[in-house]
Amino acid sequence: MVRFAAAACVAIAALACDGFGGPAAAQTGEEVRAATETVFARYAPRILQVQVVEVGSAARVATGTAFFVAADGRMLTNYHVISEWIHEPESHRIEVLQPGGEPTVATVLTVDVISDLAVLATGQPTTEYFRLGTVSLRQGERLYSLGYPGDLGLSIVEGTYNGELQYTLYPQIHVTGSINSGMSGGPTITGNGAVAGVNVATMGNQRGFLVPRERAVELLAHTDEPDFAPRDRFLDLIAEQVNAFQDAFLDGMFEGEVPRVEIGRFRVATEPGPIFRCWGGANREPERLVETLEHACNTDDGLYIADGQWAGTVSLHHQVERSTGLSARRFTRHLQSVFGEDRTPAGSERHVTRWSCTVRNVRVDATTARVAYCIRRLRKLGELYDVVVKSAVLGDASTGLISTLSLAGVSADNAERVATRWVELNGWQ
Amino acid sequence: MILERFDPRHPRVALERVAMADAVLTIGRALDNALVLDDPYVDAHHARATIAADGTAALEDLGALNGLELLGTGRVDRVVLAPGMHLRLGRTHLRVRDAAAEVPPALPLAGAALGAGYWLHRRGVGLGLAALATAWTAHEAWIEKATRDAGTVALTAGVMLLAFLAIWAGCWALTGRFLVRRAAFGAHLAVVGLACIAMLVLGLVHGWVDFLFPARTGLWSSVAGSSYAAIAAATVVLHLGFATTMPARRRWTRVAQSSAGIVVLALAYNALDENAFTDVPTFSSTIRLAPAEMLPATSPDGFVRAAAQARASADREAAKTRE
Repeated sequence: MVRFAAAACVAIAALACDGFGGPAAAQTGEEVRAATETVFARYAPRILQVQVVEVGSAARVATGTAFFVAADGRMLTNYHVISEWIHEPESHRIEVLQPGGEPTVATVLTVDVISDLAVLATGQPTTEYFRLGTVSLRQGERLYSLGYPGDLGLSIVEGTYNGELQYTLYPQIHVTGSINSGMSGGPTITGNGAVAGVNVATMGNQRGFLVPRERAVELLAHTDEPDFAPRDRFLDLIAEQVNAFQDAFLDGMFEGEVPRVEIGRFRVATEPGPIFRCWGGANREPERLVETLEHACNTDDGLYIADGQWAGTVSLHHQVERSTGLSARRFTRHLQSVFGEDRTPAGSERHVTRWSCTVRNVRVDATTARVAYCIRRLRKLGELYDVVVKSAVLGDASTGLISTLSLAGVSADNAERVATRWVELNGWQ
Repeated sequence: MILERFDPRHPRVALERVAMADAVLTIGRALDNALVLDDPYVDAHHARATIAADGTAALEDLGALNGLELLGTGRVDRVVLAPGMHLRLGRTHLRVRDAAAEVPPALPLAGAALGAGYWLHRRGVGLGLAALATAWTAHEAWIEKATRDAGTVALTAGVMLLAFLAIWAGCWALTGRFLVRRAAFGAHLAVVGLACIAMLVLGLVHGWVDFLFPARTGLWSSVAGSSYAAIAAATVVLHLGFATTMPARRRWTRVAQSSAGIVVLALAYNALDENAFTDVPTFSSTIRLAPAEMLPATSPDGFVRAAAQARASADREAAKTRE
């Protein structure tokens, strides 16, 4: 009796759910597999593999995916797939290829480094392309990600739409599915071939992220404009985009009322904006003779510029040290060594100069702090800099605060303004 | 002229000397010679030195079995003697010296003759200075470590420094033993101990100056670096003074020349290294304990000016290597 009722419930549920449509809703395993095969067969011709080749050595330095979005053969991919070419166009070339075909050289029409998108063209028209239109997605909807994971050939990955992230620079789409890094630049589509977004990143553990198709539509529309022409030097375009972005991003940051938090006997700035994520920690091992309290916030997201080079990130770190068994001199020396620790981001000679540092003792109201200001210039992006400001509050024999603020890809004016505010905001209660 | 018999393994001390005053000087194993050589490879009447009226002296072979050898030339029958010549008869070595040659002045042995070095030679001064340097270094090591095991670290540092001081002073003492026949280990220990203390004082002063006035940190580093070099040079000069017969001016000249050589090497290394890329920043992290209100400090505006200077430096570097 009970078993019959249970079976009936399941049957009724299946019937009820089936009526709402959508390929991901309450299908049997076989039906789902059949849908995936169909999707793959139908849309595979629209996907291409992208590779960036070094001209001298014919070595492949980057690989990714692109897909046709217009009848004249324009393709979409990620900026980060072709960033090597962007930085050194004379010594690289971009090639696209499909299974069984020969590599074709592709040119770049435009890029958007904020959305991590790029529009490519080969000049050869195509009948197979995705039409970017409106699509509304529901939580849990079945999606299919297409792309070339490394040299494993064109692949399709089943995924689930899981909403949009709120703490990133722009709302990224979260897809649960094993998107592989080689699939960057490929599309994630519904079963009907509607593009939900462009594969852009993965955090492992089946956490994948897409650039929403709205941003791709905007970028493509830009290339449709009558007076559109590709730039001579795309680095200039990227510099403009990053410059505009950091101006908007830092506008008003640390101005006015900034949230503060009390740690020990200090009051420090925290969470300067909604897209910051903060955490704290404590180290109270008795072996150490000092107690350390930490509080840090950073923007989870940033702009990928090139290998090892990011822009538009802000991170702050507070470290309060309190002596539990050290003499005044020893504690002061300990504070000195903490202040001297290197927390600067790495960098390569290709993209940045060396750090140029200056140190001053600065007094603001009741707080005197030793402040180190280190700055390095991004070589290829106009007048943009990485800056690290580190301050150590002086004068006490048993407790001290070391606050570090790190900015990547900012203008000099913004850097100096924010650094000054940083020094003013952290101090004694 | 003087004829000296000596052992080539211990050339500094002559075994026997004879002045060539008479017109004829006979040399051989027989006891009726003016210079008797107890060498079984020397003939009874082996050689004869004759001095002419004008003062020139000549040595001739009297037909000895093993003959007369002038080192550097070979076997000779007759040779005109000159100061510096090294001769061999059988297995006996002779050399010719100029009786009027100048000898260096006597070295001070004790008391007021030592001058300023007197205090360094006094018993216990060396150990005292070395002990002070060791204790200070151990204390510094202890301060550096903010953990419970700081004591063991400090002890290790102290022992290692003491060992270094002893070895350093020991090497100089051995040199002195060999060159001036006086080890004076205590004096050498005092010199290096004093040098350590001077460097520790310099480090202390440099740290405070850099902490109070960080705007000129480069200048302070240059001054400190030069001072460390000067201390090292003065130390070597003092060591040379106690361990060798070098006159004062020559000691200073030699040390100055070596220091100049080292400085040139360091500058060359620095120049080649100048353009080496690194993504690690260097800044002065010196922090000292002092009442905050009493520290010389700048306002945020002054800080912004400093920041702009740093930016200008980064701009210059970017411009330098641009295509």
